[in-house]
Amino acid sequence: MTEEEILRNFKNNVDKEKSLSALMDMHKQKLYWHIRRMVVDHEDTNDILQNVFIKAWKNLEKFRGESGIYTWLYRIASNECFTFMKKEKKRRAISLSDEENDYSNQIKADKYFSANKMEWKLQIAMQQLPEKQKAVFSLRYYDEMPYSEIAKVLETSEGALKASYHHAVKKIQHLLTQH
Amino acid sequence: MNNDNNIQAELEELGFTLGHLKTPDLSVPKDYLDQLNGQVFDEIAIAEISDNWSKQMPQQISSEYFDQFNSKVLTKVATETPTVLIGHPTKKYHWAMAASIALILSVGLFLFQGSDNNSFEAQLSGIEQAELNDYMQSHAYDFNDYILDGQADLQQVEADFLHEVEGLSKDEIMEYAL
Repeated sequence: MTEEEILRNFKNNVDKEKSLSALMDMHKQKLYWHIRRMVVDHEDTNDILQNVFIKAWKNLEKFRGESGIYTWLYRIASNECFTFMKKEKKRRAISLSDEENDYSNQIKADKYFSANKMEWKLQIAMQQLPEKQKAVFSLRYYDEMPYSEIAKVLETSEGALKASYHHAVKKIQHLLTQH
Repeated sequence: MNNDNNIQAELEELGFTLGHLKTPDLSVPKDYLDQLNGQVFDEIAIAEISDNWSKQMPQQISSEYFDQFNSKVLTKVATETPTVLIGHPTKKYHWAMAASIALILSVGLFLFQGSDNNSFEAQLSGIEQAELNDYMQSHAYDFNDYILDGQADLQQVEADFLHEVEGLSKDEIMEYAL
């Protein structure tokens, strides 16, 4: 089923479950990892990912197609992550740097964690970035999304995104060479 | 240069406006070409830094997770209680809201005119909820049912309304309301 067919089905209120299922099959894995890189914990990721598709279910018939469904889903997912992180910060009433450490600690608590492996080092370094920069890095580096698409997802100018990504890469490089 | 001139002359010979269309007035952002080299080198440098990093996610999740994911979401959406969709409030709706609010305020002021003991707010708080509901049901004909049923997010409705009437003068609102 193509995205056009999915949209048409939602608008005509036919085969909605089947269409949602097709939509999930297309995007759930990429969205899962984007969210996971943001909030680290699997259970939190799972809750957010389910919310993303529930929101899609509720709103897809009103989707006006100004961007692709893929971009739209990423926008919902990123906003859900920001909201979640804000709530968490309030809930824990801890400072930003403590929170960052907290995400790093969650990574270190993973049963497969290996301090010497580059993949894990990169994950920990990424958690030292501010939220929005973390999202930019996740979308650009891991998902290889063009800046024009990221601009739609995060509703920011392409120029600002490029600067943000460059800062993120340099900061990560600095952190990786430090340890 | 000589060759360029020949091409231009040839174009002009070939016909009407074609020769002039060769050099349209397209503009390039200021300093774009001067900065282009620097931008390209920046991109290359950033790409080189991250070339040695791995895009592999080290975390692992059970293979069943994605297999079962769809059915979990579909179960959830099936049990979701249908929400009342407020939709995009129309201009008419906002005008109706403005009219209703203006009417309520006018009637409120009229009712309490001459009473000099308490503040307007205190007097308003003395009105029974049932009386207010009766009033709204009988007068505010343009209120949507869902508001009267208490199903709407009134804060959102209020925010939408304020956004919509922002910039309208008091006279414009009153003109409609009265």
